Amino acid sequence: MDVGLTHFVGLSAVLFAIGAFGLLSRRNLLGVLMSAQVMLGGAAVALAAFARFGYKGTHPLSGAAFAFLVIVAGCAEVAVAIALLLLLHRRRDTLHVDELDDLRG
Amino acid sequence: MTVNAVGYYAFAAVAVLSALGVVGLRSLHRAALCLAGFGAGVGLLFLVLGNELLFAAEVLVYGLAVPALVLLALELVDARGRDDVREASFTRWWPAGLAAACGLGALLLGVMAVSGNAWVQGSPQGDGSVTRQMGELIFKTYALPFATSAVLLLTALVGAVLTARRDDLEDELEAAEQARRHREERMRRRREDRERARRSQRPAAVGAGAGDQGEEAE
Repeated sequence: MDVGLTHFVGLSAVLFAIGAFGLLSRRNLLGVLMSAQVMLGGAAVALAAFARFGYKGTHPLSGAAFAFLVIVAGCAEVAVAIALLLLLHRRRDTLHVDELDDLRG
Repeated sequence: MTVNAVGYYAFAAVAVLSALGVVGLRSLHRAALCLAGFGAGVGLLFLVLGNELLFAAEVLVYGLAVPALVLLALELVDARGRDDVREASFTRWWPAGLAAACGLGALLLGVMAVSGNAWVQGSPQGDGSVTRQMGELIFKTYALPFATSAVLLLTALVGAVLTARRDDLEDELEAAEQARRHREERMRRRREDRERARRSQRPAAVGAGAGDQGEEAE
C-alpha cells in the first residue's frame, strides 16, 4: 500500500471537482465563495505533492512555495469578497445569485 | 521517498467528506464549519507530505480565519427564513459538535498510535528543516512572486476599506439630498400657508360674499 504522487494528484482532482460542483450548484454567494476555497485547497494539495515527489532539475520545494502563494491569494480573495458581499446585501437585501441578474444579456 | 499511508487515507477521507459537506449542506452555518474541517484535513495532508510551514498556514488560514469570517458574515447578513442560509440556530447542535470534536481527537490519537509519530518520513533534501528551506526559496528564488502577493494583499485591504467607505459617503450624500428635499417641501408649505392666510384675510376685509367666492376659486 505505497502512497505516491498519483494518490495525491487523484485526491486533488476529486477535491477540485467537488469544489467546482459547489461553485456551479450553490445558490447563495457565500456558499459559492466557500466552494471556490475548496477548489483552491485541492490545487494546493497538488502543488505540495509535486514539491514532495518532484522531478530532478527543479528545486524540490518549488511547488510548496507556490502552494504557499495560493494560500495567500485565497486569503486576500476571502477578505475582499466578504466585504463586497456585505455591501451587496446592504444594497439589494439578497445574496441569492438568481436575483442578482443585472448583467444578464 | 514514501509517505505514511495511514495518515494519507485518514486525512484524505476527512478532507473529502468535509468538502462534500461544504458544497452539499443546506445550512451555510454547517457548511462553514465543514470548511474548517476541510482546512484541518488538507493541513494534515501537508504534514503527511512533510511540510510543516504549509500545515501551519493552511490550518491558520483555512481552518480558522476563513470559516470565522464566513460565520461573521452570516451573522451580519442574518437572512432569517431563507432556505439555504439559516434553518435553525446551530448552537442547538452543540452535542453534535462535541461528539465530532471527540471523534476527530480519537481519530488523531489512533493515527498517532498506529504510525508511532512517524508521519514525516524525512524532508526532501534530508538536511535542514523544510521551513528554513522554504524561507530561503521564497525570499531568494521566488522573491518577485512573494512581493507581488504582498501587493495583492495590500490591494485587497485598500479595496475592502474603500468599498465600505464609498458606501458611507453615498449614504451621507443621500441623507443630505433627502434633508434638502424635506427643507424645500417645508418652505413650500409655509409659503402656501402664508398665501392662503393672506387671501382669506383680504376677502374678510372686503365682504363675506367675496370671501366665499375667493375660497371657491381656490
